Amino acid sequence: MAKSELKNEVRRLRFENGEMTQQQLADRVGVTRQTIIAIEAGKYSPSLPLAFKIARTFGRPIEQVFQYGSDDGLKS
Amino acid sequence: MNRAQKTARTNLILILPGLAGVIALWAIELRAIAFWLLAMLMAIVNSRNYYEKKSQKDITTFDERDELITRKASVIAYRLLWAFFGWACLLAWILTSPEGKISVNWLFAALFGGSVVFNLVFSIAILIFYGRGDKDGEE
Repeated sequence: MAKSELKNEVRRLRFENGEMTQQQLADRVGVTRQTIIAIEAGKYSPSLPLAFKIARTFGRPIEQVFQYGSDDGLKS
Repeated sequence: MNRAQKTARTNLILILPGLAGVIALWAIELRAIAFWLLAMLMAIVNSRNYYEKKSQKDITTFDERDELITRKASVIAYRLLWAFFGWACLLAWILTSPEGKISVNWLFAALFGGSVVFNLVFSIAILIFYGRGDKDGEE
């Protein structure tokens, strides 16, 4: 799958949260470990509900976990 | 490697040698045996796909990413299936001319050939879309 424009801090936050494993995070949000691997590598952009679940697992707002890569094309 | 990848890999392992066998039997004029081999091959592949989808519902083995990949692979496989049927019809028309006749074997070949095309393209697309899979590893 193509590299997504969504950057994320999932890997860093996992380590900051008691060195949580990819499998533990996957079990908490109800996906497979492969999906967590793909999200961390930027190969897959999660759906909005999944992004919220991941952010809630870390107790952070979603914008601290996921950032859109470019502001190009956005109107103020 | 997850369940979808394993199924796709097994399908390729079954289909590719099976198809080579069917073509070889057809070439040496053992056409009835070739038809039966093709029918049995597709029955095995399709029944495996059906039973594997029904199992393992209680644990998370299939999520939104798997669904997306499966949907994309299905769309590609259906497009090529219709292209195959289109070419099968056109070829029969071109080879026999509008007033000509074709053997009913042509229908059988188009039906099971379509099944081969769908499963083959679907399996290859699944393996390509998942990419490196578990090689990313636990970190």
